[in-house]
Amino acid sequence: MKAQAEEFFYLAAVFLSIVILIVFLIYQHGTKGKEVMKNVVERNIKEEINSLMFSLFNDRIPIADKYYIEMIIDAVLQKVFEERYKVFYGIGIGTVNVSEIVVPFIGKYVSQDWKLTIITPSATYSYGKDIKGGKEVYSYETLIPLPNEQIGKLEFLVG
Amino acid sequence: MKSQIIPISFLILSVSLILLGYLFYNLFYGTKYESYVFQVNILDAMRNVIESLKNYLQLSLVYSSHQALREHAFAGGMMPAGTWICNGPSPPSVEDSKACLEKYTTYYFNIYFGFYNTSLPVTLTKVNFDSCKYGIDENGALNGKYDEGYFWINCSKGKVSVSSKEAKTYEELETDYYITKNRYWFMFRIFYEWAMANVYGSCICSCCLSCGGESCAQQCAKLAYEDLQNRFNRYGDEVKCKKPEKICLDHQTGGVSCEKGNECLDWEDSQCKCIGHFCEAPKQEWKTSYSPYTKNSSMINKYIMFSDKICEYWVENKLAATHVFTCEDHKYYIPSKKGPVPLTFTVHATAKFRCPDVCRNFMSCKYIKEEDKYICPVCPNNECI
Repeated sequence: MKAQAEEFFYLAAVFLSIVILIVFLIYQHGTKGKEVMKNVVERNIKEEINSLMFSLFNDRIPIADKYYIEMIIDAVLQKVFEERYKVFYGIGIGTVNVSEIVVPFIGKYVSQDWKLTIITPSATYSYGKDIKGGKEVYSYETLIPLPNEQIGKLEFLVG
Repeated sequence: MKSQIIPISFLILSVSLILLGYLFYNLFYGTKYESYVFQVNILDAMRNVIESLKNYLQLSLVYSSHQALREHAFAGGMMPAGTWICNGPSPPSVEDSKACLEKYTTYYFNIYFGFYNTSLPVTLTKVNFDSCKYGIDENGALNGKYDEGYFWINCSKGKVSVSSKEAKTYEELETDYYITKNRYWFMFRIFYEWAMANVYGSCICSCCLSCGGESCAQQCAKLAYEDLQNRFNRYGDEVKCKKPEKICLDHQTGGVSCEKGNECLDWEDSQCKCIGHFCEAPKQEWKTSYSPYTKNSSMINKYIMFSDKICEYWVENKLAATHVFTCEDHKYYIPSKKGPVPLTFTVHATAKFRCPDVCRNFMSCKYIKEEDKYICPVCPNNECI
């Protein structure tokens, strides 16, 4: 009787071990653990950044009828104001505070901390926060056209 | 103990079989799947390069079109525009200005296109855009339809292919931009109407007929400037015109006639020239200020001596002037490398007339003793007084 119980116990242990192993392998195959999770997060951030970039280059702000990116560049290039987040577009439009428009706009697309930097031959200006150390940082870089056949660079960091 | 060997062996065998199965699955199906995912990722990255390029081109077209419009306005509607008034009205046509704008916009747009590159390990192959078209018609432009912009610019037939060892993708590109808040065609229209009214040419003709000289021509430039400013003021006070700048003044008198004339004829060999409108190939020099004119002013006065008994005669008056009229639109600023700036429109006007027999002059009469009378030497029929 004792031997039968022992036998049953071993069979149960074998069966349980196999089930746990199969479940583990299926889970492992399905998610590949942390690596896949990281890829999924990265993919989501990439999608967020891509749709943000599309909107920056293709959506216009109603007040000035300019693309968001155009306004950001104009503010960096202008020499009227000391502050490089303000830009004057003439009597018909007035002065636009780019920071007040761009920061909430980007916030709608990106939930983490972010920093947008525009680099031109004459000046560089950033919006957003510096990303603190220790965080996983995702970066996006692209060339941007500037007036008079010049080019600059846009850097976007998310962390 | 013996009874434990069977289940333990069974356990080890089962685990080994499952692990072996998992290993083989990953080795064959898994590797294949991974390579498929990798290819999809590469294609995805390539698609992103094209999407980034499209974003880049969208902004490039904004800057290309505004740059072409800004430079055309500064050069007078063409590259370069000649004289909008040459005795009579001679502005460039809307179609000519539009064609020149299209040429320059395409040129700048393709320069931006050529600059585009990516840091990814892929090869970008680009074929330039064929042309950029402005959605403008002559009637609309001259009737104020495009005064504030609101027209399409379409650049088509650009091509890009992105290739790597694993994949290749190709796309035909087309970029559109609906331009707003740019008053190029408003400035063009007002200058056009101003040139057609021709206050400048008519006034200098009047000066010529009344034997006027340099100061009269300068007065005409002022009158034309006031007319221009008034035309802009009808639509608001956003456009400010500068006082006209003198480029050339030429005044001569000469020839003798016994009767007064009353017509303005073209003074062909004047120093102030009329220049036709051109659209030259784009080049670097356009970026600085351009003028087809050289500054030159000339004033030749001739003095006629006369004595007590005199008689009148008439000489030809030749009067020519070229002035440059510049107006700035402060309503909407447009992009430049120094940030948004007012749109500056510059137009040259030339009037060069010769008016035969309009300047009254006197000469000494000859006394004929036998007949006890004075006679006018060149015009015997004219009375000596």
